[in-house]
Amino acid sequence: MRRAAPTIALIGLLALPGPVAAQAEPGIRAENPHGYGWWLGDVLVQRIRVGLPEGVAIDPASLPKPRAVDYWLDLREVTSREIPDGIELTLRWQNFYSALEPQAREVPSAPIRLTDGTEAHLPGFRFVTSPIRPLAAPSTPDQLLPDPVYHLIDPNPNRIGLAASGLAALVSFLALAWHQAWGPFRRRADRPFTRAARLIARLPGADATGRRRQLHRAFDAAFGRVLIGADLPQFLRARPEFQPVAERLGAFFAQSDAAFFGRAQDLSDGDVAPLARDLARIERGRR
Amino acid sequence: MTRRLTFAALVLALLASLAAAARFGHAIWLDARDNAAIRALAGGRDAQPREGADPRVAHARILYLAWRDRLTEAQEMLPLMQGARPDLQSGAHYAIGNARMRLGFQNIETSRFEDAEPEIALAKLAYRAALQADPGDRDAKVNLDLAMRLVRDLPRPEIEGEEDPETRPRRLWTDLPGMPRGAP
Repeated sequence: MRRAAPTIALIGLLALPGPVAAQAEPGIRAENPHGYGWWLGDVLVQRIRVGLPEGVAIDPASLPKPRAVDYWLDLREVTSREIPDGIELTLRWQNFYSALEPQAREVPSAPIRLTDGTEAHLPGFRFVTSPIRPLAAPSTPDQLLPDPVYHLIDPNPNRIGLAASGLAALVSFLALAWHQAWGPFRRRADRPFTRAARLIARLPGADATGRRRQLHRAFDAAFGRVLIGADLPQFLRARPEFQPVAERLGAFFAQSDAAFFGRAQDLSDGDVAPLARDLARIERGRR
Repeated sequence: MTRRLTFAALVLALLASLAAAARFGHAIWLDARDNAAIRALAGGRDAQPREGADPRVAHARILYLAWRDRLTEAQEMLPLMQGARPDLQSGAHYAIGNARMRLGFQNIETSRFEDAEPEIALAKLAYRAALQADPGDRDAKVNLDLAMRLVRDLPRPEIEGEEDPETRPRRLWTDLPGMPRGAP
């Protein structure tokens, strides 16, 4: 300990201009860490507000650099932040002084330069650092604290994520099935063309009239009342998504009139099945 | 138009949630692999961390290697701890420091002080690194204090003419005062 004493005095001498300069610079106000109660390894945060006139800044090259300032003191980080009438510097010091008894340490002040050429000093401070182990504690291998424990990875966040995304997939699949009238939702009333298209696909090939009838039922259901050829423009106004197949609808209704009320009994059903399929696709938003 | 939009939105939602489920499932599988490696290391069997493994695997392997005095390999694992939680980083450095201290104590017990001193100096650096990663690590504080009592940091006399504090060389010299007797 006797060896350290002259150095402390020297550090004290170095630090002497600090407070004096800080008084000469009324613009510098320091918010120093508490003076007592520090152990080795502790980080001491010092906030310094430097008042600056308009247009003047601190020369960034003159700021203290993070480094080992002394064998017992590291400057970890220097950050700056603009404040209304100047700049606020935050200096993070780390104390590595292994004290045998509570002892005052002196953090030196540091010179800075402003862009208008004037010099200033960032003030230093004093703090008392205390020993962490008793003075009389033996320095033997059994005093060494044991190795750290092994850490396992907690799998729960990913498990929760999997459960949530699986649930979202299920919900969106069910919503899609409902929207597309798949599976248990296939009998939905407001998908008449989809139902008709499926029924038509299942009807025997010879039953041309049956197919035509099924599609007419679907039109009636979609229109809300019986739809005849003359009402077709009104239907298309109400359901504009069917506009692209308007011509085919017109042809279909004309053929139906001929088949049911005219003489052309042997009329082939032509494209009733493809038309029903296309209508079903439009109805489900897939065309 | 609304129906088409709804259809597209539902398909997108389904695809996105399936992709998320696949990602989480993969992550769970990787977690299980990493945990198996950590369990093996804790049980005394060596296991290499996979590429891009969780830092906890590197942490476990450093603990495993440090306990077996394979310090060069342990030191080489340290870059894998980059970006890990501070307490894990601190723990890795601390384990290396403890290994150095054990070597130092062994050398002291056989009176090879010239070999003990550099080990303890390296232990101090490791504990300092641990405290730099996590200043609140109390175990590292206690063991650093113990190492400091064995080999104290002492200031060198001021070098004349080196006024600039930034260019002044780090003043550090160490010695081994006294002779710890060890436990009875």
